[in-house]
Amino acid sequence: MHEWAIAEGVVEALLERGRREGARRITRFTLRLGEIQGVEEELLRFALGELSRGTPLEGAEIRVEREKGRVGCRNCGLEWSPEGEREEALHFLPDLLPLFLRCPRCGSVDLEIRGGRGVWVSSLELER
Amino acid sequence: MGELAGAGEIDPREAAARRRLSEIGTVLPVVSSKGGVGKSLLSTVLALLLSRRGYRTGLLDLDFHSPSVHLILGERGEPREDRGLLPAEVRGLKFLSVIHFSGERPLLLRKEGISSSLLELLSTTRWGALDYLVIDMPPGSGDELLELLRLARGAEFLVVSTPSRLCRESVERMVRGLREAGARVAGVVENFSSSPSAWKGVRLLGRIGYDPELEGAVGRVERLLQTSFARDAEGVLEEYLRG
Repeated sequence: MHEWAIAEGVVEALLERGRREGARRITRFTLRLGEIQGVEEELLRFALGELSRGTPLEGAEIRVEREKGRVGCRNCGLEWSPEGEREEALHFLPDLLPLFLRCPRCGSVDLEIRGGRGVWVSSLELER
Repeated sequence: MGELAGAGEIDPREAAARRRLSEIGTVLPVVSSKGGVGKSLLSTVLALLLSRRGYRTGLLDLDFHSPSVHLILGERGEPREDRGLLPAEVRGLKFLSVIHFSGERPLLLRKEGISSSLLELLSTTRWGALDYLVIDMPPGSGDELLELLRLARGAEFLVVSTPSRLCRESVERMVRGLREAGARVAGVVENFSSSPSAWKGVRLLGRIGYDPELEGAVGRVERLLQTSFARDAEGVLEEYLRG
């Protein structure tokens, strides 16, 4: 359950930001989940709920936006969203995706991830 | 309804990586400005020696383009998933490398992917209680080094050199750079050393002579620890532990 470690990071980051902003409570936040990492939303929500107990984050509304994986070829410029079965390694290190791909147009291995990599907090609302 | 806070997105890995690294007794990155100076062998042998002295020791291969610690250990083990990433257990060490995820694929990676992978590993790996985390770093002063300087503020850098002027000049520059960045430099280890040479302004932790037997001991830990390289590395470790 890798989602637990991701949730720990999210909770720590939110509480840190909350402290810096002098927040009494964090009421709502939005997570952007990149599809490349294949994070399971339900597991992540469960871990966030457990880890938030007794903190200013407890009871916060969690919104989730999903972001499709996008890969760009630095040789021919093609940009595409990879489909198909996801390698398990990418659950841990989504940035390794280029190792598992070739550009479908020119065959290049010089690829970069342009979207949908991991987990980000895209907004938060708080009460001071 | 609450008030919208702050500007910009938050990468949740930063806080987690800092916290996890702060829980480790000593983070000991083995670095050099040059490649081929023996960082991987020294990292591995130091980690094994620390473990044999009873210290709880982790070994992290952060050379994303050219990982080799698994070859020196002779096995790589398998990390597991349990509320995060649990490192493999090999020869008494907790061990993690990009090789656990890349397999045998060529590691054609740009620096953005490497920095991000490094952050990912540091933020989700559960090392548990460790006295030492030895990190085999890639050569140079690039992104991996800068990321580590940012995330592991208390790390003690061990810098590997050779006696060659070509290496010494850039190693001395690296030591200055590390200090200017506020990092602690544990000292320099001179590998392939044949005659005493003076190091000014930085502590010399020890010299390691050329060992023709070393290559034959790669992948065979017991034999590796019998080499003169390992004996010299033991002297380096003693000097380091003396503080």
